[in-house]
Amino acid sequence: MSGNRNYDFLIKLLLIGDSGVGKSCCLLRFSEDSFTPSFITTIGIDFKIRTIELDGKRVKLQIWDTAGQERFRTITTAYYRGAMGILLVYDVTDQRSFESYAPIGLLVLPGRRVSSGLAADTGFCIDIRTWFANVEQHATEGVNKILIGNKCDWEEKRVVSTEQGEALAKELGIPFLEVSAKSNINIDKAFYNLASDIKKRIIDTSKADPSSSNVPVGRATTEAGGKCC
Amino acid sequence: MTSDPPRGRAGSPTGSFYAMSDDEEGEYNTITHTETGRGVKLLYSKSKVYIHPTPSAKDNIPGYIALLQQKGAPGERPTSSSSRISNSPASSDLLLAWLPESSLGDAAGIYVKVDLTDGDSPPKQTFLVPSPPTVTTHRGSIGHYAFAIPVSAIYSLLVRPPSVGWWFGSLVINTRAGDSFPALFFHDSECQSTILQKKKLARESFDPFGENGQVFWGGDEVLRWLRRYIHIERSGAEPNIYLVEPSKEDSEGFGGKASSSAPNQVGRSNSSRGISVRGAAGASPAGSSATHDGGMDPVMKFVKETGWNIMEKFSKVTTFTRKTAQDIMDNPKIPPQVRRLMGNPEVQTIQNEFDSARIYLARWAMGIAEQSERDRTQRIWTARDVMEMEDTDVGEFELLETSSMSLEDRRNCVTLKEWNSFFDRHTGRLSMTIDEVKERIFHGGLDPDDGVRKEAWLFLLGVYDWYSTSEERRAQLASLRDEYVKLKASWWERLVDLGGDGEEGEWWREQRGRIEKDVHRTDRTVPIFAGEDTPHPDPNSPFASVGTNVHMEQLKDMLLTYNGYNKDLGYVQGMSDLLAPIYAVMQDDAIAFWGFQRFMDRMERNFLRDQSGMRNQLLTLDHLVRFMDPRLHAHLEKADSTNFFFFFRMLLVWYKREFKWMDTLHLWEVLWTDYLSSSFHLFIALAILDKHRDVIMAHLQHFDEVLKYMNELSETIDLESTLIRAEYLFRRFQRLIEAIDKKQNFPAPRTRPNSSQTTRPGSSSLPQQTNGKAPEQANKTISPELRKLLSRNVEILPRKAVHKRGDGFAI
Repeated sequence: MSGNRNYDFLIKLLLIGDSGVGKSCCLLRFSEDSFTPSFITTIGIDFKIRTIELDGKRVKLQIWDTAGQERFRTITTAYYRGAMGILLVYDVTDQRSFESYAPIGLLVLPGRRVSSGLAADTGFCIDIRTWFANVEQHATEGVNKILIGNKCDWEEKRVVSTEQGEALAKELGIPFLEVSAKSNINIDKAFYNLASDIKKRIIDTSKADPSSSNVPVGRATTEAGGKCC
Repeated sequence: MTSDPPRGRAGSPTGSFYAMSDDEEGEYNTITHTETGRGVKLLYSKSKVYIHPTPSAKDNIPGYIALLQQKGAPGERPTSSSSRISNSPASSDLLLAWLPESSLGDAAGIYVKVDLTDGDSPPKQTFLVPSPPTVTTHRGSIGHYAFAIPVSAIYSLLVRPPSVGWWFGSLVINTRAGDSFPALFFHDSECQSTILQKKKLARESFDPFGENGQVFWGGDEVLRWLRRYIHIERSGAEPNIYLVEPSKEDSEGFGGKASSSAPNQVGRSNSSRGISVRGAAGASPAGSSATHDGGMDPVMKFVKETGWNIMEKFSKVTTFTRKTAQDIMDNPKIPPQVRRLMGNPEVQTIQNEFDSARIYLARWAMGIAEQSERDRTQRIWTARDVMEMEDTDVGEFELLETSSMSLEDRRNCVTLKEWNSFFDRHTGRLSMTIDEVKERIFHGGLDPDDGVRKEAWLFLLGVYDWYSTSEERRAQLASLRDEYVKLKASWWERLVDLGGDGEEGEWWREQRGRIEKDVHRTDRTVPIFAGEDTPHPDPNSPFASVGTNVHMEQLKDMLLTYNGYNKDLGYVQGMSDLLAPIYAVMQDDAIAFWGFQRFMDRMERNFLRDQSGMRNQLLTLDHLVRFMDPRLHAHLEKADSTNFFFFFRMLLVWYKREFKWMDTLHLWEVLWTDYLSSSFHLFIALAILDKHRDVIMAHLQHFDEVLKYMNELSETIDLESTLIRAEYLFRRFQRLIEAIDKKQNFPAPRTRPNSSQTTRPGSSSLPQQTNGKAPEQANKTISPELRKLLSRNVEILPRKAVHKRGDGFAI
């Protein structure tokens, strides 16, 4: 095997969101351009790879997929740290995956809205705000995020409107896209946009200030040598 | 530089020589010792022929390849029909040998001399050299030592001329016993005789090329030597294979005239070992396509689609034996076609899309090793096979007393008929001990087809008391049915008004939605859960448009019932995976529910909110691997993988994604027996790891690589061999613990009291190995986690603990 690596940058991404919103399907569409109505649940963690080209550079995306159920969050959390970008996924046909009913959340379970991000101790579903707080709490500072509303092809079942999605994204200060893994709408765009933001943040800043701690890229680059045998 | 081998290090030639061979006798199957004191006749030799034990050039071992002639048995006539020289020796008297330079001692001078003799004719003079150890088969790790094979024991030679991308020409000896010697690489640029010969060729014909226009190289020479004495036929199916004195069938099957893949199986038996080994015809066409149905591995798929024919033919003339993956990768036995494929830009693009080509090559290598393992044993596993398998170069391996594990006869499955015979005909009470029954199931499993599972699982799961009468069991079933109906009714009412108000109503709706989603993606490939022919009862369900079936609906009901029954925990993802097999076997919702409920008693800890149960199991696994295989553990530590997170899925749903459906059922009934340990599932983990240890250690350097590799074992693991390996590992573990306990009962040496009691802060109670004078003892202090592995009692969490950490909806 030759020692030359086949990419210029390695970017690690993480998919999070409630169980059943279609994280694995989005990933399958992006990495293998295929769709099967999912016949298995994700247990534990896994990742897939796709190398894309951005501004003439080959960028290798390593995308981690996690179990969505809140119960397994302790595990998921361990993977926040290395991630450079996070896709927060909800299902436009499932209100709960987007936003829990406010009255219940606020009145009955005030603990769920804690700003610390140590969300609910008794919570059973995680909506986007909770995931977001979690990311803020556990992920590397400045990590790029994007809000993704999946299953946008399924108009007759839709309960979360595009406007609601936009509004939440605006509130959280992150980009937003509605996608469909099934109909292959915007999937590539979502990953490309996020990767491109990350590249701008990490690579372009590190050029401006070579002494700054561009740990992720630095590591990715050195790792690359070791990884290709 | 050249034929100037270093002098032997030891004083006397024979001394050093035999010291070396005696050491390694176990490694080779020594059948002949020509210890005449006069040695054997050196016909030809060639210098700078290397073995490459590792990918690193600095480990290469230089040596000589040589053709030797030993004295034939008295009265024996040459048998080779194709001998070209009168008085020529029988092929069994000819030895093809490789000797490391360092082993030659005083004989070195002779080897140099013969090497430099003009190779066109055999030397006129007789040169005698000490006889190297003669073997007919190569076993174990790559040889660093001299060997000599009677030419009659050689089945074929795989000869690869030097080429771009594979710089050195090489030769692999495949024996009639069905295995292969390490590849011999011809470093022609260092070999004086080859250089001279090339020059000579150029001088004579102004053409430095050989017969077929290829560059002349050392391997050609070896073929020329052999052709002088015996018949060699180039394989038509695979031009790099040369058959040595092929039988008529072989010649027809794979020889020069072979056209298509002949289906004949060339079984060979190695009488010296008394074990039947399938040789050259390793993989039957059907077998290979079935097992290598490269479903998810694009490289394999590509190979399959484009070049499977080649592979198939290839597998007939060579046999991949169990080797480290590195060995296989370095081994030029990888068909050139495949090597070319690997270099093909298209395949490379596919490879590049993956995290690491290494993982795929590693998997591929493992696949081949596994395939040949399967073929050779033909599913008849004996304890000896396993032990031989285990006997890697780790050393320090004690073999089990064979008598304690005469497994074969105990591995037939328990049929309904046999099961019924365990019980008293009149009372229906068990008439043997529980352990006897468990032992049978542990080793043999239950018949998958005759319905015995339906009955036996209820005992294993604890729904039935082992010593109950049939009358008692009938009563038990009736009352459990009633209870299930009641439990089900209670949430049913609730969901009539969509779960009710408030927090609890919200919780119910959530859980219902989750169960709904999960059931529709649980074991849908299993026929009873596959159908979507029934209209969905709830028009608001996301699955209303695709439909459902009665069994999925039953699963949903049972899980919702469990959600209400165990409110402390509630439904958690993974539970549907645990229920589905039980339901599929019972096909009765009430009975399946209670079976599942009992199963959950032991699995509950894995589903706690704080993940303490999972963490604890992964920690135990960490201790276990460190204790049983410190080298592998050290490697995993380096690869940042001692969190053993790649076992998370396996432990949570008991390997359901790793084994095929029917195998999962078998595995679970074995685990439910708690026959050796209630934590036998951790030994399954250890067995899986152990099986892949060489590949992991050779190729996987980072957590993500290890994780990917392990995740992709999904549905590829062979159950039977895993069970045997796990049992073997358990017994080894048990014996080690016993041995240590015994040792520790002796009074401790006075010099450093308590030094071995220091514990590593936080992580475990294993003492630091660097500490103290008795590293061995320190190394083997037993953590409570390890000791628990010897227990057969199932650990069930107290209700209080579940209530506190369950994270369900209990107030």
